[in-house]
Amino acid sequence: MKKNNKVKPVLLCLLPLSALLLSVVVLADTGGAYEGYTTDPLTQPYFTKMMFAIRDGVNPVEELAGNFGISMGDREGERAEVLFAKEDALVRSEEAAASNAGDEEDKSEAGEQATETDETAEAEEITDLTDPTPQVLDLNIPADSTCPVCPAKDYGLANPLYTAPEGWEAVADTSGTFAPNGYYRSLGTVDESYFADALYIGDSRVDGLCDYGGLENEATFAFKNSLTVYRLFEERMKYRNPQGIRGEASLVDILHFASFGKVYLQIGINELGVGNTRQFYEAYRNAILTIRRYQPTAIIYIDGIMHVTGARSSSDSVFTNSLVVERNRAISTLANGRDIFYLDFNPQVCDENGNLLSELSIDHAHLKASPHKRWSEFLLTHAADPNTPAAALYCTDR
Amino acid sequence: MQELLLFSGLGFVFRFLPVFMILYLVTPAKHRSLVMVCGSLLYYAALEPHFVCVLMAAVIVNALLAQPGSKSRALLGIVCNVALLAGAKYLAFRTGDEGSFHLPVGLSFYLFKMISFQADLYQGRIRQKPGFLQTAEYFVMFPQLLQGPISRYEDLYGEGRAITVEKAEDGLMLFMSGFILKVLLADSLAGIFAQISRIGYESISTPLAWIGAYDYSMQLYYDFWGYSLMAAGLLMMMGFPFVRNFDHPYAAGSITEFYRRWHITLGHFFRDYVYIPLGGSRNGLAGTVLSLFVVWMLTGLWHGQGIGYLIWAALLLCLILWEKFVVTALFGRGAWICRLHVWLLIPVTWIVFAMEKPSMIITYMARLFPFFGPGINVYEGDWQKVFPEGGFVLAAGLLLLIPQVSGFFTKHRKNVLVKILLLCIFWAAVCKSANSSLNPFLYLQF
Repeated sequence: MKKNNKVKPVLLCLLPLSALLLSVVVLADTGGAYEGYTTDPLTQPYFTKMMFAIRDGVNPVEELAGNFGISMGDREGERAEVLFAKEDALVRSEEAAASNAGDEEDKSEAGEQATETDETAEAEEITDLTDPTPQVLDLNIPADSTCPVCPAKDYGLANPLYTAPEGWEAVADTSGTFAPNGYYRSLGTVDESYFADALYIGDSRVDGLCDYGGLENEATFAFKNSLTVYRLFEERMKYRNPQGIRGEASLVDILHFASFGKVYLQIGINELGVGNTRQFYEAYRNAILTIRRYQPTAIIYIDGIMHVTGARSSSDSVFTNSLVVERNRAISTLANGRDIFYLDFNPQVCDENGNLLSELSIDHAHLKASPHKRWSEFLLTHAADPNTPAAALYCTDR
Repeated sequence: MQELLLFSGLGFVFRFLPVFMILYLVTPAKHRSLVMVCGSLLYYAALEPHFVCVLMAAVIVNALLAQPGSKSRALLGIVCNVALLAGAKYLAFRTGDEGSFHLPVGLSFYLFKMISFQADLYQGRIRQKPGFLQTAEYFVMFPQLLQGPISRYEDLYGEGRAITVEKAEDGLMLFMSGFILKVLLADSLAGIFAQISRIGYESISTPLAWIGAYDYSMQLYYDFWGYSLMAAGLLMMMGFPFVRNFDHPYAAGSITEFYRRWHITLGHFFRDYVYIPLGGSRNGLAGTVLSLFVVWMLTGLWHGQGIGYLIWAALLLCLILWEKFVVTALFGRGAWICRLHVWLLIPVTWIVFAMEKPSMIITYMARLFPFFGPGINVYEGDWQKVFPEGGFVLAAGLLLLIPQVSGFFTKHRKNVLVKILLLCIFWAAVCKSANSSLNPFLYLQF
């Protein structure tokens, strides 16, 4: 290469140097901020770990300063704030238990109060859950019942199409939030005013429901694109209330400062490529526990993950309907038929093979605007009346 | 694999490119063509393992047929190339939605280079027939293999190849600039249009439809301009001259001028090998119209095998004829109304590219010009949702359309501060690229 004394090769020098420097910074990091990330050495340079960490809220300048003992902020404190703290969970559960200790009349409400042992155990961080030890489902249905799993249409326990995944029988709590206790509410038809104290939480699909479902003047919506259950309480979400006020807040703030009679959760599509079904189930379970702590009397609706089109499912290695079904089967088992219900809108918008109808979606994953009214219609016809006490009902058919 | 091969992938920027450049630079100059040919064929084989043989066969046939001044050989070469391109496009059209056959990536681009090579050899624009290796290098050089530019042989090799620090520095700067345009601008604009698409075009409000049209126009421009800059930068780092493929098209004063500034190398191809040989504007009104008709129909077919592309081409032809024969006659050259054509009508014509089906074109047009109904389940405030997150990107996109903005950076490109600023923005783009799934270049489908 001929040298031209007039030209300073600034970029030719700085670009590789800066790449090297970033890699060294990541390699030499002692704070552990980049530990949990993996990169493909063939296609991703080592410093990509720093990029992933930046996405998750890590400040690399602070992290670097911390390596040299320079404090620019409470790194540990911030990390604790980002992750849901155990101590905080304990305090909240004690508060919830104390405030409802005197209510003996409504057994369903008493059944909702998680014991200190149950809730602290259940609020533990997700550990490696590769052991698929099956646990036996026991709904405590009387021996003369002909229906061990009730249709969502009637009781919102679980859709018969979506029983627990094969080889995995759902947890059956004998007490606490998820424990069926023999008392059930049935699902029926309500009018729009039912949603006046409803909160609908979710990912980008809920964004569509908010704008096009016709319930924007009734319910409160909280949503964020690419939201996952793993970061449900860390992310700031967009919200819209029935008065049309929009803003951004964390779900913790929304749940903390408002009281809701019903909470819907539509989430799970973005998690298909992250973790396994067990981890997803545990995170979803913890999320419901957290929601229950903030909203002790709300009816919680687990809205089954909407399917994708056949074209998407057959061409994508991650977004497949078989995996969606597996995840739905897992989370459906969290329903107790009393104040936690599982709803499945998919039969309304899918073909006989369980694929989202292609004419209802442009991008193969989200409903177009026009069919959103079907969704809200479904919600209006599958609602549990909180004013009707849960009754000792048994389904007699499947 | 795409991470390693597409220019906007980190695998390409920080793995393939450094390895290739080191090999290229340590190789003695007389053997660098071999390195380029081998590297490019491996590159293509990794992306299109089933069609690399087609590329190699086309290279061999064109190299064997190449003969300065021989009309018959030039004609045979051109016919073979056109037949291959037409056949492949026909097959792709017939298999349609089944997708059992897809057009090999880069086919349209490298075959056009081969056609221009044969024509230039015959017409004497290439002064001396190059050796096989250099010919093959010209055809398969990976910076231009997938999406052009469709450079002429003499434009690349006429001045000789010389690697200098200045050229390498400028080349790297161009590459980084193109990367920024693609990743930070084009991909962000693509995200906005994806959100609009998701709604269903029958349900978008008219303001949102217009935002979508402008958004997609800018997305297409920055995607392709970004790629062209990256390709030009890569070649400059290897000692080749700069190849301009875009010249601020949205600053044009008319649609005719727009397409002289947009995808310049394609425009020159059709001008030199179709329009002028047909007689161009020398054969009176009828001759001019016929020449333009042929050029635009071929342009439409080159871009795609669906009826939508022919509609697009026909629409542009009508607008160009309107400007050429009506507007100019009434208002003279450079009339302001022609500038309005660029700002108002060009974005509308790009909608054709955005739509998967002809019916969607009609649906979208009905939302742009809502004279036939209010749409279905339209949320009137939908356009406001674009701005909290997309407003900055849209504003940046509009700003960069002004030639003086990029001109400022070009003028001060040797300033160290400008380079450091570019480096910082580049790393921001790298961060974004690392955290998003790879968005292939739009012109990769042609």
